[in-house]
Amino acid sequence: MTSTGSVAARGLPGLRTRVTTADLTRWAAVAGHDTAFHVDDEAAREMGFERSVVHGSWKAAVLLRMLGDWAGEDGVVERLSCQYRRPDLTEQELSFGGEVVSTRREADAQLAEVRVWVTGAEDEVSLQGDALVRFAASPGDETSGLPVAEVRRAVRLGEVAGRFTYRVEANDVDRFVEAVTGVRALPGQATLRVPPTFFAALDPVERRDLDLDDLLQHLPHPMVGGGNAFNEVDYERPIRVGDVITVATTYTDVFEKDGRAGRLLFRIRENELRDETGALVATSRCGHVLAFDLTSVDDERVGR
Amino acid sequence: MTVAALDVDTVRVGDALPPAVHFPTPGQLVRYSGAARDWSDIHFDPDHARKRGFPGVIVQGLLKAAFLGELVTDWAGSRSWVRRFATRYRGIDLPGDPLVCRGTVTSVERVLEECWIEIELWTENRNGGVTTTGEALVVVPGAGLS
Repeated sequence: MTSTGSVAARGLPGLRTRVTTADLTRWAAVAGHDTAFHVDDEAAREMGFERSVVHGSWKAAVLLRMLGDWAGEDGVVERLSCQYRRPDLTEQELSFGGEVVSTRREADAQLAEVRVWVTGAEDEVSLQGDALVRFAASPGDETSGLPVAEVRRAVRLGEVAGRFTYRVEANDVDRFVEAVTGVRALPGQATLRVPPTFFAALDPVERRDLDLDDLLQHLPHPMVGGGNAFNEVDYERPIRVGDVITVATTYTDVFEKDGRAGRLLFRIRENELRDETGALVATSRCGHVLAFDLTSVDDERVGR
Repeated sequence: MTVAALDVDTVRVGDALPPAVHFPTPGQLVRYSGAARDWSDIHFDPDHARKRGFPGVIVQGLLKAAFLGELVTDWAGSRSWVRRFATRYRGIDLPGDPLVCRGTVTSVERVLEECWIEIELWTENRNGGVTTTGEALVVVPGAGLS
C-alpha cells in the first residue's frame, strides 16, 4: 500500500514468473481469447514458434495486478496502455517491472505516471507501456513530500525489526578504545574496560546488518544534512568482554517536521541487548534525522 | 587510562570535571568508523559529505559521545560504572577543529551501598558554541556509607 505523499520517482516492487500452457489455457477460457498458438505447442510450432505464445492480455493483466498491489487501498489504476514488442513463450521466466516517471497533484488527489515493462528471454523488453495511478489525498499531505507511511511500513514500526547476536571480543573493545582515546592495548596487557558508548558498536543499524529504509536514499529531493539526533543507553550492568549479546531492534517512531535545514524525517529506534541467559544487559535508543529540501528535485536521484 | 579511585565524599553538586580537548583528525574518524562499524560515508568521503549538504566530512556524533564517556570514566575511576548515558547532537563538528569536552556534577545521591552521581555533559567548538549536550549517571559501588 502506498499513501499520498509517498509517490516519488522510483521503482515499483516487480514480479517474476514463469507461465505454463496450462495457465494460458485457463486464461484463454476466462478471457475468451483461445487462438490455437496460445494454448497448443503444436499449433505454435506450425507458426514458427518453439512453444505456445504468451497472451499479450495475460502480461497486461499481471502488470495491472502489480500496479494494483503497489497502489494499495488508497490508489486506483486509472489507465494502462501496452505495446507488445515481441512474443514471449511459455516456460521462460518473465520479469514485470515499473517505475514512477512523474507525479502531479490535483485538488484531492495525487497522480503518478508509471512506466511499465515486461522482459523475457535474454532480458529483451517484450512489452512496454504506461499507466496512470490516482491516489486519494489525505489531510496534511499538502505540506509533505516525504514517504512517512511507507517508511513506517518498511521499518516495521512497533515490531521487532531484527535480532542479531554479537560476541564482545577483547580485540574489538581494544580497537574501539584506541579509536576514541588513542590509547593502545599492548600485547599481553589486560583488555581495556568496555566504554559506556560501546553499545553503539553492537547496533545492527549502524553496522548495516539491518537496513530497512534504503528507500530514503532514492527520493527525488536533495538531502541537506542529517545524522544521529540523539543516543541514550540504560545499562542493567556493564557490557563485559566475553558477553554474547543478542540485540533486538524495534523502530518506535517515524515522524516528520519542519526544520531550519528543510523537511526533517525522524526515525527513532530502540535496541534491547540481552545476554546468553536472556537477562537484559542494556536498552539503547537512537534518533536519526534526515533533512530534505522539498523545494528542489535532484536530477541525479530521479529514476534511480 | 588508569585513574585513582574517586573519593565520593569530596564530590559536590556543581563540581566541574577536568575538561578534555580533542582534535579529531580524518584518520581518527576512519578508525572510529571501523571500530564502531559505522559505515556512513559522511564520515570519510568528502564528496559524499558535501553532496549531503555538509562542508566536508563530519565528526561522528557517537565519537563525541565517546569522548564525553571517556571524560566521565577517567574522572569516576575504575571502581565505578556508567548506568545511564545520553547525548544529543546540536551542531556538527569538523575534523581538525578543537572539541572541548566538559561536565559538571548535578546530583549526588546515596542509594543503599552505592553512590549515584549525575553529570551534565557538553562539547564546545572553537567559538564556544555547544555542539553536543548529554547526561551520565555514574554508580560508585560500596560508597553508600561513610
